Amino acid sequence: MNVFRSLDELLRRRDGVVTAHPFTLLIGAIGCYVLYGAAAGFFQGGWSLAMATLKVPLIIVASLVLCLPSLYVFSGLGGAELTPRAFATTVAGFAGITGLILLALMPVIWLFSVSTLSLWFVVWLHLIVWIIALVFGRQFLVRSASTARATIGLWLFLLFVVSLQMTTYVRPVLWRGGSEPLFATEKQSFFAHLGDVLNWKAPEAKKPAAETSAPAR
Amino acid sequence: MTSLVFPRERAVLLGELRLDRETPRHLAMLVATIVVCGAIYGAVLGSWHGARLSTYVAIKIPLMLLTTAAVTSLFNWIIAALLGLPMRLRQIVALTLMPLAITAIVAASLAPVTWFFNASLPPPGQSQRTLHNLLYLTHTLLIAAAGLAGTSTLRHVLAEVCGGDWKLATRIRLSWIAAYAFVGGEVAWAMRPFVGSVYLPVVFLREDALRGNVYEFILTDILPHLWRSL
Repeated sequence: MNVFRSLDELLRRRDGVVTAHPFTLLIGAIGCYVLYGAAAGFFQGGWSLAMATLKVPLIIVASLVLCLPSLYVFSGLGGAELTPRAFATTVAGFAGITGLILLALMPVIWLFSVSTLSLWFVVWLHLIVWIIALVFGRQFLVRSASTARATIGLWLFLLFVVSLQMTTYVRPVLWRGGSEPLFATEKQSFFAHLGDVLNWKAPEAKKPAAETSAPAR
Repeated sequence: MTSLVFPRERAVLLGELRLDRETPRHLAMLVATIVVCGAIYGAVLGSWHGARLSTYVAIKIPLMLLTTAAVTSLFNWIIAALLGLPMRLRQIVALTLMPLAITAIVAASLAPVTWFFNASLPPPGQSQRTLHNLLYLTHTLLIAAAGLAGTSTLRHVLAEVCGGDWKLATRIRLSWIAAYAFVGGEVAWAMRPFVGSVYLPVVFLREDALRGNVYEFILTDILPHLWRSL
């Protein structure tokens, strides 16, 4: 119950002051990421649902953890004097806001995931949704550390790039071939991975019925 | 370290430096910050090529920053005095070290991200020239951004020590930044490799480290090559 209340507080407070415990906010955020991941998993369906449910929170949380030291230093240099507790609340609030935006867009993602044939389309859709979540997250960060507006923008760009590479690192996320392992062993840059996505061909299982069944006479 | 990152604590440090109070202690803190934070970033920066280059670069990044400070301090001291800020050499050395220490802190804060990229990208090999160039460019941008963050604090730092005379502070700041960039570029060039070439073996310093300088290289190699390509 506390988790819902803390997320609700994030939606209602416009001044960036959050009284909820950072841990509660973080749990709520992870819950949102899990639900978003489940919706994304509907692109392939089956076991892929569990895979995306596991990997989406992993991507976001791991990227956030890697970027935490830079957020602390960037916000400090930007002029924000955050105590460790205030910093933890700010980070958890940011995670909560991005989680809420992903949750709000979850039905849209589900709809496009179950109906789309092309992997590149859903990948771009996820990228756009993630950018929207980051934009709202930025508003929260700026409210919490108003003097560090410019450095927060830089940090968000860093987080975005790291999340792209993290997605490549834990691939496959949305589509897993029959013999493909749960985590790819080959190292790759996100540029090369995006190139692979563009060249992706829909397997038989994903093609429309008219292409896979015999033509009706 | 926090006395460099957070404005209020930095103001206390500056107040003491201005009055030349506890300057040796502050100098030691600045050098220690550069050594520790520079080594953290350096270890990660060189790790794409393995443990040996990682160790070398962990030594070279602090060395590069400290050499830049050593070479520019005298110029900074004289130019500050000429422009109207007479301070003791040790105070100017501390003020010269401060942006470099902040640069090292920013770079160290980016170390987890850099480590992750190095760990998740294909290992170096002759077929990875594009990736090498991309990594080289990324690290150059990261260091440049960290340097920019470091030198941007000079604006407030010098304004405070100049007693609020922004005009004087700006003149000194621009002279110092020019010195940092001019000297820092050459020191980094002489101390290469940092990312490590995909063709050449891993070494601490190249044999031709002191043969030619970075600006000669840009003028006689890079620019003519670009001109011919266009």
